[in-house]
Amino acid sequence: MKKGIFFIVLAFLSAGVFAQGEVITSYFNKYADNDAFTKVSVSSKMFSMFTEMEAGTEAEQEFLEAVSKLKGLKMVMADSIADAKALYKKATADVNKAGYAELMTVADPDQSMLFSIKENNGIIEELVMVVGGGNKFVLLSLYGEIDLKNISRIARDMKVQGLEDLGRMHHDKK
Amino acid sequence: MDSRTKLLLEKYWRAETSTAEERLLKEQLGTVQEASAEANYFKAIDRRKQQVSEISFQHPGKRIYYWYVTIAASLVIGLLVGTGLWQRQQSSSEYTVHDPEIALELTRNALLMVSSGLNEGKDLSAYQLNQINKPKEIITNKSNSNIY
Repeated sequence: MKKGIFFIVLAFLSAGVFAQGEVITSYFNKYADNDAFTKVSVSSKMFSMFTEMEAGTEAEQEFLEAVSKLKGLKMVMADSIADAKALYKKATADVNKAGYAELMTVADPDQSMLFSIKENNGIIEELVMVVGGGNKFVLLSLYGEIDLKNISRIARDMKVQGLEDLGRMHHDKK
Repeated sequence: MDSRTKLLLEKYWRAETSTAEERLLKEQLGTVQEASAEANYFKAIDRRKQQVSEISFQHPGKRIYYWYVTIAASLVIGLLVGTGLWQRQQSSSEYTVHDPEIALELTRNALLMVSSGLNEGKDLSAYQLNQINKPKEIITNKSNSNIY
């Protein structure tokens, strides 16, 4: 009897270990047959290949540095769905329910964003981003050892390079 | 009732008698013809002692250890965990990008999206939203056969 209880407890504990990326995995399954959603997964093996690459520019260096400690990336995206806002709400609820700690939210009439993390001993092990608005939706999960500072630097470096593109993209949308 | 019996009784009520003395006391009280309160008391105790439960219990004998139940249970648990893990693996591997070039570009776009989101919030939202299309473009434009 005691043994049985022990194993049941063990089973629950191990379920917690496998919980990483559970939200995104469930969305993978949910929209497996829906072509409106693009599903992408980059494995840890691929990430280890990235680290062997030579960095040309400083931005590249920054990028590779941020990537070097990552173990996986999963994304579910859609750019032409009718109820992106509702899906965003559902996804954020799922993320909150899964025990992620909210890092940042941006609520906008056009588009909302949620960043949530899972921490272990002060190290961010998973970062979940949900974006939704209009007819676009993104659910993204990064895992491994995540350095937010490093990641946030990527855009700053890129922004300098891509400022002209940014302007052009605005016009493209209209 | 003689004085010796009385003495023993007194000792008995003080709970100081030994088992031998108690047996002796019972014998002596039993021989007394007139039914004293004490004699009735000991008789009542005797009757209670002889009472047998109407429900009979059977000794289970040697405990049978259902070893096959243990094995079956562990098999079931193993199977459940196994299928769970396999399903997880399966559901992700289906979408795993195998081309390093595509993977790198996807990762770059994804990180840029996360990065700009973390940096500025809504300022870069238009830019970000354009990034959403990127992975799809990358996947559809480049060698489709290599991806899945």
